[in-house]
Amino acid sequence: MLELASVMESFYTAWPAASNVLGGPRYQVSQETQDE
Amino acid sequence: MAAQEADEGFAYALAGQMASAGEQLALAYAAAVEVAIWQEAREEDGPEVAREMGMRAMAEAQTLFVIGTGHALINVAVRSLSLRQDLKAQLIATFFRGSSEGALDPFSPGRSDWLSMNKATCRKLRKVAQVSNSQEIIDLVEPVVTYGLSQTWNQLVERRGEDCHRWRAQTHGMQGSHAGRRGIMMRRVALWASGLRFMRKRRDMRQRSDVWPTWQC
Repeated sequence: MLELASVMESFYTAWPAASNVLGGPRYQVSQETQDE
Repeated sequence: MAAQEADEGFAYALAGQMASAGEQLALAYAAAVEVAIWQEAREEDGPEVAREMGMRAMAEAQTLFVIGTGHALINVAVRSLSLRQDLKAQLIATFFRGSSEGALDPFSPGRSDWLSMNKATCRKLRKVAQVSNSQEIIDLVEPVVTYGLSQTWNQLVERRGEDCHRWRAQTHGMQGSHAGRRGIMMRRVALWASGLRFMRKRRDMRQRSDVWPTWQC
């Protein structure tokens, strides 16, 4: 389960760069969310 | 660049699938916490057999949600690549061999449009990612593919297949003097009856107790 969590984390870390190449939606983490 | 190219429904579906995968992993964690609680339970919390059954039920719930997360994740990866039309065509050609059985449409009710995380799917997905000639796409897909090909994942799926479709291995601690299939069967019947008695007892306790918190009912 922890290994799978790590895989998910890798996927979502790579997502912004890949999304730009794929033409997918761009997500921006707000400053408020980061502060939380 | 191609933000306008992405189908809006596709993007919504993808976001929903990502959220669903995360929720399934959270549910797996919740089940793991329940397993830990059962492990900590003491004799006065219930008979040994009931604790063992409760723990096993939660462990299997954890397995269910871990497997669900894996399948969800491979579909998120496939749908992500489908955002680019040339890769979507490549995926359809690779997975469905050009037949009309799958189109990878968002919110598709078709069984064939939803893939299972297994070795064949992972190898095909890796191949399509490599065809993209994009390191960003390879980096996105590779951790998922590597996990799908790993011993950890495949042993888990194999165990689930055995438990659900063939013969369910006995719970640890339940093996012993009951040798042979008949002995195992009789032991399981005894377990089932014991569990039923335990649940009835808990139900009766709830009905009698005026201090039982309402949220537990």
